[in-house]
Amino acid sequence: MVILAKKSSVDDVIKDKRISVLTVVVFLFGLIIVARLFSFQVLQHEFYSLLASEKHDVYKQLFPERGSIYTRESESLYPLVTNRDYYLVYAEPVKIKNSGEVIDKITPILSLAEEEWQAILPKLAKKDDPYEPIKHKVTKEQTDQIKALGLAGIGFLPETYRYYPEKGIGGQIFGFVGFKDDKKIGQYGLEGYFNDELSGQSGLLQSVKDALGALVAIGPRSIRPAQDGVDLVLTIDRKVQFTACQKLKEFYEYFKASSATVIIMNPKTGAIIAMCNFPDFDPENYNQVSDINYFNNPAIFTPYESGSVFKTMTMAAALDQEKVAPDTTYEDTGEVKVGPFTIRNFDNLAHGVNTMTQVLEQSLNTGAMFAAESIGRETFQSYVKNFGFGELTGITLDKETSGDISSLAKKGDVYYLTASFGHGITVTPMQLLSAYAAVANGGQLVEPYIVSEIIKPNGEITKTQPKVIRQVIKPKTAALLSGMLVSVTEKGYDKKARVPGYYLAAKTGTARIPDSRGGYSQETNHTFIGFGPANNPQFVMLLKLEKPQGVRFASDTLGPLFRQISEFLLNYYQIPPEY
Amino acid sequence: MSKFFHLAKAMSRQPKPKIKSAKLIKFNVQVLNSVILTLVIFLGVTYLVQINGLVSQGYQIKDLEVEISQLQQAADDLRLESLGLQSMDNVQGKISQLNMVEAGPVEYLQVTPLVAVAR
Repeated sequence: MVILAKKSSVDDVIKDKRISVLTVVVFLFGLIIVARLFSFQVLQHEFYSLLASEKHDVYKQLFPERGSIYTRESESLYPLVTNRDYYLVYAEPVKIKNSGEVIDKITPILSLAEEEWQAILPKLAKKDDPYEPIKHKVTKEQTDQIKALGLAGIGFLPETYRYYPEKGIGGQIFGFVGFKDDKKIGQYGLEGYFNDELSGQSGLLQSVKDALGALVAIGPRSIRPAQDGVDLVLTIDRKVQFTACQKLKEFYEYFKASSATVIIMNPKTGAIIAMCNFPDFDPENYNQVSDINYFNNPAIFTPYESGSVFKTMTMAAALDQEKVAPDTTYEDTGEVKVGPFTIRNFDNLAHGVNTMTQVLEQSLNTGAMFAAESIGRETFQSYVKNFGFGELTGITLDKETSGDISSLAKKGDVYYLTASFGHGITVTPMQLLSAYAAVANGGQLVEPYIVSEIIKPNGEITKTQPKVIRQVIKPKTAALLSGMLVSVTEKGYDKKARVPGYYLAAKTGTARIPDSRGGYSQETNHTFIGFGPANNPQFVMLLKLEKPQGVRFASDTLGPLFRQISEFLLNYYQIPPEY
Repeated sequence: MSKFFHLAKAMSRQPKPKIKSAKLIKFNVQVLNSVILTLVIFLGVTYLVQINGLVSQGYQIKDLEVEISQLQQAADDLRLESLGLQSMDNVQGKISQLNMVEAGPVEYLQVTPLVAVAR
């Protein structure tokens, strides 16, 4: 018994030792694992965290939608400028086995010109090239046709471009969206002026992606949503704009003019109803324009010596100061000597005794100088400034200029007397139209505007309120002057502008263009400005042709055009005849 | 009798055998372990089922988002097409096809108010 007892205790001791050793080994092994885990997860946490985030984290910029530009028709909005989705077709040359075959198949679908596919072909043959763009602005129909071919190494990226549903209504009002430093930016016109508001603000998406690159739905997600741009609603009437542009184009082409402009405005509010110029450009294809000067809007950008249309402003000043009346007479000897200078009428004739009304009817330079002399240089200069010349009108279009009336500050009388019939100073068509609108509006100068509403993405609408800048002339003066201008249309050279049944007030100007070598050339600018109906004007209109060929006077080139557009407007606005 | 009671009392004061309590503790620990293990397995499976369900729903959401995007794209294409059809240029082109003529000057009628004449 004792021997057995002794033997079992030795076995137990041996067993205990083995278990102890095993225990120590397992413990040491476990300790090593814990130490390694500690090293990876605590000591090198930042390194592995970064490594993981590179593979799984997604940071995506969310692009906002650029605001659209509308016109209001009754209660609904009609877009004049909106966005359209296209595609960029690109190639991954590393995946293309036969570049010639790919080019043969996609050329007819994409309508690639010979020089285009010849330029692309060698690029597709580069085996180490990961990416080559083939064509921008490809439609969905075209991409579907290419997808149906099942070509390897051809991919598509969505991209957005501006779309203009209305063709032929003028690109200079809108401007265009181009690229600057690889960023989309609006330039010229409304796109340039309101670029920040139309662009909106981009957002950011932070999330994680799976092995296929798709976002993990249940993963962490942080979104700062993009803020879309605001929408603009214009004062432009689509139908009037289309009609005015079409008719202007006919006369521009017929008289082979260098340029043409039409602006139609509501004289009481300053709302621009139509504005059109030729030559024009297509904002959808702005990169195909032959001369970048076409991007500028001559209606607001190009000042010029306006000629006889400025006599209205001179007469307004003299009437307002009560230095003359419509029937005040003067002796026209055909010329006036101002220091060493002799200034004559356009026809070099003496017309004898004429009233101030006849001065406008017959467009007598001497009569304009008579009216200007009656108020003096300083008063004349003051009225010119009050009518808004020499300063910006404030219209919300990019690249407006203010013209130049600095000669009025010069001490010699010849400067202001020359300016009295529209020479020696330069003004823009928009300034002229605003000044005439003041005459039509009881003497109140209003600020022209082309954007009637701004609609934010959240639906908030900001409406533009008509703004009266100042009372330039008394209402009585405005009424007298309107009557004189009606007489011009009824009896003067401008009879071609008459619309039977209506009293329209108007004045023409045929101004010789200054020669770069000094003096004046034989080429002319023709201007026609009028409003109607005279007793309650609903529209004021300016027409301009630069260097028209074959006809001398503006009454012959633009009188008929004024009549045609006025007839349309009187019908369109359903204005009953006055007599 | 009193000797019997004394003996009974003395016996009752004797400690209970240890083997019986050890067995009870061992039994309770085993039960607890079984319960915990079952709970762990059950919760683990439940978690896996839920996560799997969420992930598959996530893919469904993604598919629906793609479908929504395609429908929005199709609606946008139709809207742009209708804009082109409503454009003045297009309407003017259709005018001649429809043999429509330009409206001439409008004639306005004077409506004289009724006058009652007293005798």
